[in-house]
Amino acid sequence: MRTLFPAVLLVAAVATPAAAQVELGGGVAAVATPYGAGAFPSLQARVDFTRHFAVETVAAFEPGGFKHGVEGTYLLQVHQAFGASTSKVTPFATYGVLGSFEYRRYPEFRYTLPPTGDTVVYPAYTRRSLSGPFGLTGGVGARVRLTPHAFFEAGAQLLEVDGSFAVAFSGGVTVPIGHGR
Amino acid sequence: MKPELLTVAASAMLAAGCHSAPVAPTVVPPPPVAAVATAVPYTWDSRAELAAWVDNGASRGPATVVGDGTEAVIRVDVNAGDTNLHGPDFDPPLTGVSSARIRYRWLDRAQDDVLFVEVYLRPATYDQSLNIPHLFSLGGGDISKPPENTSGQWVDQVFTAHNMSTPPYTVRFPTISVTGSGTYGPARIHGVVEIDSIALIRQ
Repeated sequence: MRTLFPAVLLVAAVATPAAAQVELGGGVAAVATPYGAGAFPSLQARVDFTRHFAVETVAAFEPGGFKHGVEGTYLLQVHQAFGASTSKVTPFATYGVLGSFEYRRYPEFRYTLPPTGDTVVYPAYTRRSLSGPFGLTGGVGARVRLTPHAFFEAGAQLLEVDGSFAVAFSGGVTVPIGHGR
Repeated sequence: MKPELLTVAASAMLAAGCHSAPVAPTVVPPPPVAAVATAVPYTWDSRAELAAWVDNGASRGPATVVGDGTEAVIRVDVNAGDTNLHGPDFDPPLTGVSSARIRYRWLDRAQDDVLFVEVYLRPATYDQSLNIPHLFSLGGGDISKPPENTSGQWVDQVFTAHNMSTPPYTVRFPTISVTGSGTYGPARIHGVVEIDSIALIRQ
């Protein structure tokens, strides 16, 4: 899983010389698992290789008490659209992999050992962690044109990690940018 | 960079994964305590010698030196809080230490009070992953046992590792921890512990 998906993307990039369009977006994803549910703000970036195929990365951020950074789950997936791109509503499917990321700043931490008076000092540092893919994702949705350069997208996805499944519902707005818009 | 190439690069990075390495801690030793000349090597008995354990800026707790000459003692008010006595630094570190000997008495204790005295031998080099060798008397450091130790009479007791670590030790400095607990958890113990002499015993 760690090497196959990038290889597919590499082939797609080489095989599609057409100018790519980039889209940026943001929204909210609600995830339900057998152990509970939660809502996560998300950002996404998408590169459209053809009218129907794009590759996108979605970062869903863990809410909570992480005051010194962010962490969450990323999706790296193919976004496949169906029907005419000029339609008001365009159905799409997504499929790909998921992993996790963390970027957190830890302040200096020190404590004194009572028996000897030695002070143990952990210097401030930034923890950066980006896992390789460890799960699969696939889903369907619809894209609604709001304005000539803004779209609302809503979808549902099934997530699989080590044989456990979760369902995610997402909604958000994407905006094309760059030369291809 | 073209978006296609950027996508491939980002995908490859995600596939590989990456993690920053945790930062190793550093250990800052306490300020060194000046050595004092002793009449008997590695034995602190007189007022000046005992004062090196108390009036050094590194020791903590309600401990004072009272008396003169070899009659002087370190007086620890165990009702007022825990005490940590920081001994003089050895430069170079003292090698071959196997045990310690402390002559002390415990005055005005209350029934069921428990007193713990332990000797810690700070190694010459130390990181936080190592256990600091400590010496104690039988009973897990509780010097209220055996019974004669609670009588208020002077007791000359040897503190050893009891197989918790293996001597000999190379020592940068020793410390003595004096703590206790009353009948009920947070309650303080009572009385005064007087330490008449401290000695490190080498093999």
